Amino acid sequence: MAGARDAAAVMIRNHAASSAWLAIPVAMITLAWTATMSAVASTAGHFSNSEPCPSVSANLHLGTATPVLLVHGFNEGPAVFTREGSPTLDKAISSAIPGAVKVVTFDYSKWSRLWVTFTLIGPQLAKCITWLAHISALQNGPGKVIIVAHSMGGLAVRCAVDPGCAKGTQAVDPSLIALVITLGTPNTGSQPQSLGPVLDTVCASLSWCNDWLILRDSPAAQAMSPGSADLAKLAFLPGIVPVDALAGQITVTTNLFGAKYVLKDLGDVIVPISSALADAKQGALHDGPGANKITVNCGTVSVTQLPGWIKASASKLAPAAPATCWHLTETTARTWQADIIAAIKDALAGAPSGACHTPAPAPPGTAYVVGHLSNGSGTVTPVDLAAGTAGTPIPVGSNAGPIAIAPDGKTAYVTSVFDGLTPINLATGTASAPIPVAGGALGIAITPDGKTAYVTTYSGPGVTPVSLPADSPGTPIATKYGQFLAIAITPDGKTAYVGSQYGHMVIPINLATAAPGPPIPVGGSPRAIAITPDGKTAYVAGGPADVGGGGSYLTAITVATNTARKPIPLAGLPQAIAITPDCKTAYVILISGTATLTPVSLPAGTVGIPIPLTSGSYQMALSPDGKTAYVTNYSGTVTPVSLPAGTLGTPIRAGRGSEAIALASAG
Amino acid sequence: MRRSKLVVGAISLLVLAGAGTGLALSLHGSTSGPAARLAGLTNQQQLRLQHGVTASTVVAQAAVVAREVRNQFVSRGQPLLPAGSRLSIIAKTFHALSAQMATVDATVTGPQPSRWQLVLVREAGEWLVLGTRQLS
Repeated sequence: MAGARDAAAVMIRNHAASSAWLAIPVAMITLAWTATMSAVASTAGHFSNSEPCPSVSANLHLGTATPVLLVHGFNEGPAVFTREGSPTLDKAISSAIPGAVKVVTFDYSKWSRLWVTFTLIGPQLAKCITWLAHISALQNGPGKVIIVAHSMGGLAVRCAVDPGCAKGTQAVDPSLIALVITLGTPNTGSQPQSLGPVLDTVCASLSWCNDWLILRDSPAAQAMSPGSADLAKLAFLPGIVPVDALAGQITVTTNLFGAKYVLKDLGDVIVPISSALADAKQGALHDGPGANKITVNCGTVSVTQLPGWIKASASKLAPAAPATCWHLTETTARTWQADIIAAIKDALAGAPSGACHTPAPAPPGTAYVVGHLSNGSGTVTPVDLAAGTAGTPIPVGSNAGPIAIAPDGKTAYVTSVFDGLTPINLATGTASAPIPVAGGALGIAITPDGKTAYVTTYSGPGVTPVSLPADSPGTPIATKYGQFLAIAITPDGKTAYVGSQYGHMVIPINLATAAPGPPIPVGGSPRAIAITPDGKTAYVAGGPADVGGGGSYLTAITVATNTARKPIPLAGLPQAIAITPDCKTAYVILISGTATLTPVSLPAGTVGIPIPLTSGSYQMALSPDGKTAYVTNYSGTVTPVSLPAGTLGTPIRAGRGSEAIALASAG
Repeated sequence: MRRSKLVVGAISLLVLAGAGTGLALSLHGSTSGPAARLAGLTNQQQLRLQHGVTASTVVAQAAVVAREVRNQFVSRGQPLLPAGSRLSIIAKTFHALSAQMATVDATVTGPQPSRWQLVLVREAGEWLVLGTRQLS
């Protein structure tokens, strides 16, 4: 549900007194529309009820490309996908996946203030989706459609698939849909409708409010009121349809004499997060290629900033700083476009997120490399991996350690034993003041939803959660068993595995209850942990303990049971570990006189031929496609290593004392 | 043409949603209409705020904390100001942002002297503290 995006807004204002447009006979609309439609004979089976999409040529050539159908929202038109943004969403998708997709739009702009059950919205969309799938199959394509729906467009899709909603026509066969991506869809309602009398009060002092008040009275807006009978009647998508739901989050905070509180979660200003994610991947439901539920952090506004923020945003017609996105930018913001494209790529590859898969090749992004100057102070250097050039180092304080990048790609967090946790705005390349972490910050892992960083502590009680965007630390989770460095979180965000450097053990932590489970004995003192993309197995690379010595091992832990398998001996002290997206190989940096990048076949645990690295190699990050390891070196470089061949590329200068590294994907 | 119409809608949505946010904070029991629009800070309300902020218990202090943050405040259990503090509201600085939101400056004396701007919301006819900003 977006603002008055089309010409009807002024028309509505001019006719506000009577609201006569609401009384336009539906029959007339239907007749006028259908008279312009060129019906296509339906075929038997799940392609029956096929009809070209409005404004799309009946001779559409898809070839083998997968059709991507863009469905706009309330009071919008296709322009939100084809004219707004730089690049526009349709161009962003087409250029990111050239040849593999064909983007088309579903235009119901003339009726977009009517409820989705209207003949020319949900039912017409059902015909359009079926038609696209049909011609895709006829032209040797996949015979399936990927749908990207903004706001109420997602509800139109629900209607199109719901036999009880798409009355007078046949609902879409769910098997014809490869993926539905929803952007701020008010599955359980939207916010403005819930304000009721307050809007009237506000509008008494705003001259342009009539537009909104009338929109609020439109059938669609009424239907999208939380708890409305119309919403209740609209079935959620069947579980067979993979859903990737994106929600925006602007957080309002307040401060009471120095103590900070989160006052309100605005969602994307229009649609609450809970509503936007209500029909998304939930366990096995809606799982599948590209399925996910993502909350995009749009920033935090303090209550004292709020009046000025509103004024600034209104004058800019865009979310003013510190907010970076909201409902009206969900089709145009780069972060959102990147998430949409990633989900489409997953769907095309037939690989669900959170599963072992072989992703499509992706251009290298940016590496953020933690380095140390001679005086001990730390830096984070951005390295453009495609260009092979380093940017300006960002100062981050002393003894900087591991680095992690939030899932939205906007912020990196760097740990420091002395300074705590330092957030870095990756867009501006600036570090904020560190967040003190009692006991000193050592390791870090961020939950897949981007809401919490778990920081292991040097001398503290164990693990400290920090709400993101960076806030004051929460209550530490006491795990006993001494100092911790390694930490990893399962892809479902339910469990963290923390390695004790003082014992040959890993502590599983239930993140929902913040309860540590019984220690899991592993081979060696844990130095690095990685979890397979399917979340089924955690691999712990351990070396000789500080007390008691011992050898080096790779130990697999079955996540479902938290039991360790027999440790696999390794030759050298493990420094880092990464697992390929297909779950077939773990790569471990081992130091034993010389440094190697050693492959281990999974799940068999067969150690492969080590790839020799240059002296001083230390940490690494694996590219999203698993084809390149980027290895840091104390000498101040990052070296790309082609996998599985093991060919070392030209080292890229990255700043003195390069150690920890994290990758941000391109775009 | 289309773009300019978009502008109208976007502004109205923004202002309404944004202002609604502020107002939604005081939805429960809020007053509305012309009479409330010019509501000021009475002497009685000023004294109530001054005494409430420095009351001897967190629970008593919570009575002058806005409903939206009250539960968090009580759960945290930390008093608004150190024991022995006194709050003096400077009534002439009262500024109504809307019928339900206002700001007013205040001075804290005692263990940690300081100056603050209080963000107030009007709930059930009472001005309550929603936020603060330290003044230099």
